[in-house]
Amino acid sequence: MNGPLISSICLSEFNSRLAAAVNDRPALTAVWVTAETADLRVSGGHCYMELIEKDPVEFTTRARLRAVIWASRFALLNRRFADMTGMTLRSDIKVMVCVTASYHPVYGLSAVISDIDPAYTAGDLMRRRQQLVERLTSEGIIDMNRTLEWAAAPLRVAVISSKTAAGYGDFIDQLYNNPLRLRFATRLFAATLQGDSAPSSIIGALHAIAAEADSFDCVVIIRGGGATGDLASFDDYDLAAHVAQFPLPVIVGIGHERDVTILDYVANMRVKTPTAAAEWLIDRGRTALMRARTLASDIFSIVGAGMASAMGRVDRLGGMLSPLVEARLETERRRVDSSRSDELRRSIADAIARLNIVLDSAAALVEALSPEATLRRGYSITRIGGRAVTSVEQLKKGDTVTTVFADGMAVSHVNDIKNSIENERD
Amino acid sequence: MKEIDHMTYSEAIAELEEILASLRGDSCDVDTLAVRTRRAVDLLKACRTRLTATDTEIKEILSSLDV
Repeated sequence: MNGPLISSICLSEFNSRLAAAVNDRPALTAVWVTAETADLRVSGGHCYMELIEKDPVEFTTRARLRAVIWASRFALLNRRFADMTGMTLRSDIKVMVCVTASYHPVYGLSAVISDIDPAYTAGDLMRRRQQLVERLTSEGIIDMNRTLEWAAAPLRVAVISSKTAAGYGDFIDQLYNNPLRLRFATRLFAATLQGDSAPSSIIGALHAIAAEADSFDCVVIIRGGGATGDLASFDDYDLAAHVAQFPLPVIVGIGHERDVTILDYVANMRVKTPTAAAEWLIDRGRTALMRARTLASDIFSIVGAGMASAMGRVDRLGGMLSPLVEARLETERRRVDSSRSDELRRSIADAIARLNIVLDSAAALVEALSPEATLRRGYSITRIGGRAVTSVEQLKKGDTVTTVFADGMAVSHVNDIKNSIENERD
Repeated sequence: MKEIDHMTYSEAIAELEEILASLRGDSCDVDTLAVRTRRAVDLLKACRTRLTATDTEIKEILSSLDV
């Protein structure tokens, strides 16, 4: 065969025609396109990715196009994107991008991204988050952590953070340099809080804390301040489910002002920064301190009132008692008197003793005066008809009288009666 | 009565609340008043100690944290 009869062009010529057909065409210039990202990587400051459209039912790829964000735009676009969506540009997210088709004879066809609408992605994230919320709600766990009771003074704090994060240092500084000198006790459970490994790393830390849940009052998940938004990884079902069902209240301080993740829906407390997390805990401590002080003052005022009323009662009793006391004093006084009259009693006793002596002498006297004694002394008793004869008038001549002697008696007849006592010799 | 050392802060506060309630409720006699006051004082002291630390203690904590 001879040389080709069919006319041909070289590849570069063909590619030039392609370039002419593609480049600078109004229909292919600055067109807003929605797609998903894949295989995104940053190299030399430029961001390379695949834009993909999937069948919503079959999930098969319907369309695919290489895309690039040149370094001159990438830094700005990525920052704006992160500010709005809470994450940097990455694979597997929905984006709305402004693209211009660009064909290069060597590098082929690609879409040059000149702008991104973060709202589109944010909306999609919100939808996805909403789906997570619905799932956690239907499973009945979404409110579990949020309804946990706080310890009266949450001072024992388990911290999930990366130790080198600036936010961790801020948190510790803020917490321990609180003006109330609240006695916080923190322990760090180091974890990765950036990137795709963050959920499993945080879940690991949660497991470690749960193993000694009694040692802590709460968990704080914090991330370094200043980092650009990188929160998409937190919108993770497993992580959200773990936080929701964690037995201790969880404070989440991982984002910035407008960043929201699913954790903000399930955690007991959401704060914007690590410093705010510390502030919140200090505030709880302040509340506890105030409560203790109020309790103290309430108790003391009641005790004070109780003591006052008891004192009043004592005083009243004292008032009632004072007559009694007076009476008592009188008794005392009398006792004092009687003690003085002990002498008297003694003297009375003496007197009685003396009286007894007198009586004794009297008895002796009485005895001495008894007829027997008289009789023994020589006296005798004369009786007539059983009665003592005390006068001669009772007698007449011839009467029979009995004379009683100390040792016997004699019966005699009266011979003579005289009305005067005369010497018998007469 | 539970030993205060073995109580959590929440338990101590709860007992203080109880004491307060009982003080409010009773026409308490001086003996009860004295016992409850002593207990309340012990509990409050323990609460205070747990709640706040001295400057020295805080410095020690911070240095042990090494941040």
